[in-house]
Amino acid sequence: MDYAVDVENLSYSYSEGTIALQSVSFRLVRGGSLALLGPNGAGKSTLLLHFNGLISGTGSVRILGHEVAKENLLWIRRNVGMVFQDPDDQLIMPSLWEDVAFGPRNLGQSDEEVEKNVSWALQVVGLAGLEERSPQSLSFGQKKRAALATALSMRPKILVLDEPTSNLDPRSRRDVVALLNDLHKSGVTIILSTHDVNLVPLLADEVLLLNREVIAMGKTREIMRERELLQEQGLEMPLFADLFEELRDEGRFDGQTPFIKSEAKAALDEISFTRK
Amino acid sequence: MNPELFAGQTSIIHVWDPRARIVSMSLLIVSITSLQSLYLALLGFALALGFLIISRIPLKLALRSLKWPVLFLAPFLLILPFTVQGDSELSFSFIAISHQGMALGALIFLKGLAAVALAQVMLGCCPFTASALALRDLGLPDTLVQIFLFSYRYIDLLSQELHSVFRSISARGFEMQSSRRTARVYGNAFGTLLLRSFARSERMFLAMLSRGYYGQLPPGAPVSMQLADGMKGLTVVAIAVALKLLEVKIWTMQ
Ligand SMILES: Nc1ncnc2c1ncn2[C@@H]1O[C@H](COP(=O)(O)OP(=O)(O)OP(=O)(O)O)[C@@H](O)[C@H]1O
Ligand SMILES: [Mg+2]
Repeated sequence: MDYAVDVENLSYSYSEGTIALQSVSFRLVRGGSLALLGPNGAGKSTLLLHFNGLISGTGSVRILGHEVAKENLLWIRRNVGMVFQDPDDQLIMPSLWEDVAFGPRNLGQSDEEVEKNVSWALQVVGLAGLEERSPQSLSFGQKKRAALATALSMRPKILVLDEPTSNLDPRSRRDVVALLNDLHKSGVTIILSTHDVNLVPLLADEVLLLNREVIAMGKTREIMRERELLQEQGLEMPLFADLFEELRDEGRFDGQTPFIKSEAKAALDEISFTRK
Repeated sequence: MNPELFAGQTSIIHVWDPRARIVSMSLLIVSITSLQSLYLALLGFALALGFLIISRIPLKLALRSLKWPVLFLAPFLLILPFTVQGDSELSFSFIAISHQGMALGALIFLKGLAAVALAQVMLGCCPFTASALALRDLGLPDTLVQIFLFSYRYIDLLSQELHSVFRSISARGFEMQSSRRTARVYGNAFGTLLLRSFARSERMFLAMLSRGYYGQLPPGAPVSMQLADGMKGLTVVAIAVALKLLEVKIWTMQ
């Protein structure tokens, strides 16, 4: 009952006839985190646009119990923050501060609230001090974080991100992962698309494999160790899982599949322990 | 449309409330462009240069923005001396250069350049949105201000796309020649440019909607005008009035 996102039988075609989504159905609980995975052109960006009522196909999309429909749009956009794949699409104002303030102002917040939310958002994405800069003059990684700040400043309950970590250097990527984890811990529902299979275990509890239709959905730890399933979609397993699943096939390992470094070390200990 | 124009720059013009700046500078522009005396126009031109210097707008940018007006105004300087009837200054057989023509040409040229320089001081020293919102505060209709504001981002966008389309065709070894192929490549590039700009502006619009935009500009933070803003405005208005008074004085002396 208490779903952040509830999609039923959603289909969408672009005007020139490309069928981007076909009978997509899934649910995500409030406070959950979901990664959309799929090859290029799988319809990930198209699906994400629906969560904010920016496009609408046939079928139904409900956000926090509210149908995404014309009369609810403002409510939906107040609650769902959206970060686009290309930050240049999102940054429109001549100064960073104005850009991050654009959303809160549209919501009619008071000056103090705007000020508070803008400085908080710039602070958490690590861009405090660049308020007066023109967004066009920032580096790509900074633009990416600026775009994130423009959504965060609206304090959304659900945060939708289209490839938030693509084209970032390792440090910025780690920062974004840590930030999303913090937000998730504070109760924000996170939905993101990504091509980075190694980050998925760090970013999301659940995975939706999409290729125009839903291929599979389930716990990250279960989906991300299905070698064939992933390979059929042109995807790979996360590195640690890949290695240990191979060891399992060779009969050299039979523990729980590790996804992060600490788990992999524990799994290694287990192997050397059973050897002795 | 250059955001670098004000990034990292400060001068007494930059910290001047845009409303006071727009009103008083507009008055000064009107005052200078309505001058009929060549000497006062020269004075006006010097004043405009003075403002440009005070504003600390980088010289290179200022010159670049003056390039087109100069090209547009130069013909007046070159043609009027030959076409306006009057006391001839010099004459060779059938061509006569008239004194009045030269004066008129110089007058138009100087006033035009002064106006462009002042316009740059007026709008170039703060974010464009600040100027746009100031226009609304001064009573311009919201829709007009929005067109003004977003055309800024669209022009920016168009020039970026233009840049990337041409970079992409020259990166693949294309060189401009006067051939049919050149024309075709340009035609295609232009088509691509339009399509890309259209697609991008559509996505930009979606991104604005996702941030709660509903076809109206959110009210800007109300800023109260300081005494200094008013004083600067009054100074500029005084200059504008003084120029006109000087002109009246010159007339009555004649
Ligand atoms: N604006 C558009 N007009 C027409 N077709 C589109 C448009 N945007 C996407 N498509 C098509 O819809 C399909 C799904 O595209 P979408 O961008 O949703 O995929 P994606 O999973 O986000 O891909 P990627 O991983 O490359 O970002 C593709 O076949 C694409 O060509
Ligand atoms: Mg995409």
